[in-house]
Amino acid sequence: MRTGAVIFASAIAAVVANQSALSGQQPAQFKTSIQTVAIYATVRDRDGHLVTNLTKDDFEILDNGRPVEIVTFSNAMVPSTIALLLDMNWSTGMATNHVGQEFTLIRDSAAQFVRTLLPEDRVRIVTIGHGVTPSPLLTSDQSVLRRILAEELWPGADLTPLWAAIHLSMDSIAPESGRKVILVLSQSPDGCSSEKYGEQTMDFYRSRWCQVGHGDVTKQARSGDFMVYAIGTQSTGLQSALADVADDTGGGHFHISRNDADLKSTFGEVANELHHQYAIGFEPGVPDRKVHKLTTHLRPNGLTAHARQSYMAGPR
Amino acid sequence: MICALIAIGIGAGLCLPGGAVTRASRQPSPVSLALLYDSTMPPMAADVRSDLRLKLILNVVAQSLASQDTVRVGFVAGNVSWTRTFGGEDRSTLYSEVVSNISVPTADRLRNPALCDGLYEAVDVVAHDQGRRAVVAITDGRSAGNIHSFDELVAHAREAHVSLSAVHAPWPGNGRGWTSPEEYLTYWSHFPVSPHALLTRITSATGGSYLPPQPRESGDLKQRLRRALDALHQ
Repeated sequence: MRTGAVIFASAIAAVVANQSALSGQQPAQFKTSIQTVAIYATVRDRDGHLVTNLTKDDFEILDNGRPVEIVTFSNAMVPSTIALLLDMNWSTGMATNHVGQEFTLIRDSAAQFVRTLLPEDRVRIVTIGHGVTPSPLLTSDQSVLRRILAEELWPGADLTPLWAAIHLSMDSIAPESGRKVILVLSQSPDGCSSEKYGEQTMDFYRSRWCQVGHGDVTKQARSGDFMVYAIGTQSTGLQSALADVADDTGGGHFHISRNDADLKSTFGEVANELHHQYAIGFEPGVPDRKVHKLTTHLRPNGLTAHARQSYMAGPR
Repeated sequence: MICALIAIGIGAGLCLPGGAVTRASRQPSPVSLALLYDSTMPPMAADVRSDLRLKLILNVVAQSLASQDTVRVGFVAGNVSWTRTFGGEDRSTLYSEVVSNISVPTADRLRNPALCDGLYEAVDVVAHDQGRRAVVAITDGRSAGNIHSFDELVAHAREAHVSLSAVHAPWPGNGRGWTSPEEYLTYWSHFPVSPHALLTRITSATGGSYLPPQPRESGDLKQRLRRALDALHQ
């Protein structure tokens, strides 16, 4: 049974019931189904502005190229469960004023992101640096989240086990219902791919953090209905494989300079996207346990939809 | 001679064979101690049995334990594990029994420690004991993955009349390049957070001692821990 899918449908229904009066929309008629596949779609016009007033009939969903019936639809704000993954490793072990400023920028930008969340959004902060440390708290309490950012971020000079960190973050919110988002602030590519990893660390470190790779994370994201957003801040660039995962899941990826306005505005852009996505559900056909290609078409001209590109059909 | 100097340093001490020192049994107020060891500090490859720093620490604790004192040893990583309560009669077996009965999984150590929660739990460990209640942490001061905040920790310790002390032990050759206290302080001066600021804050707020890091740990750690333990008997 796809428990997540059941909760997806009921969660949307609950949110729509609460918010339809505010949005002025007619409440959508949702079917409750144990086989609903969730799609969260971001729609932009030619100028890149978010478009938030479309209806179900404006969308066409293709499952392996075949149109499917949309059984749930909402453009109301849907709360998210977010694992905010912050890579606090700097490639140089020597601190400078510049590194200190970057540290402060990351901390403050993350705090600002927290401030932009909906009251119902819940966040777990996960830090990379001296391994991977998830907060035990998954909370919507912004004062708690700000306290964690103030007390629990430490600069590191280790290699980053990127895929293991994303894997662990997904695990940490997997049981939650509704939209599940992994937001990664990445300062460097996966350290397990680096030869230096072998030189600088011992086998047990590798055995702990290098057992998960890009393929595992992609599979986990598909089967667990995660959206991945990635922000790259280092001159080495955002790892292309991470950008691919973000695209596949319907999230987004951003490569920014180390600049105060850029990082804060990028976090803001992610929050804005999450708050203005269309929640769409359809019932898949035979649960063949295969990866299905998903296409989200828009009937109005001049608009583009960004949404997940695949899902795993069948029991989890 | 060495024994005599140490004895002067800690007050009414007794010399034991091999130069070890213990406190006289007529201490006015026994100390109930929770010793919290940060097991995420390198060398990460070492389990507790081959961790020489731990051996040094437990030997110092055993030597400083008066007959009416008690100690429990906790290991903090992602979780906290505690030993049984040891008394003054257990001095000779403290180390061997601790390393025989405690296992901290490597996977749990490859992360920043939940130091704040570990300290919070340490306060609970001694909160209802008689005499002077104290927590001494051996840590590099980083802390993450906690349920409790440091403000909550300080309030909890104050309410239970438990002092928090910290022996700050950054490891030598840690890849960050500092070889002196000055370099250490320069490193952290670039950041809005620092382990020493955090540890200073919680120890001063609860009446404990803070023993700052030194570059050459082996001999120095022994002296600093002994100072922290001695302060509990004053």
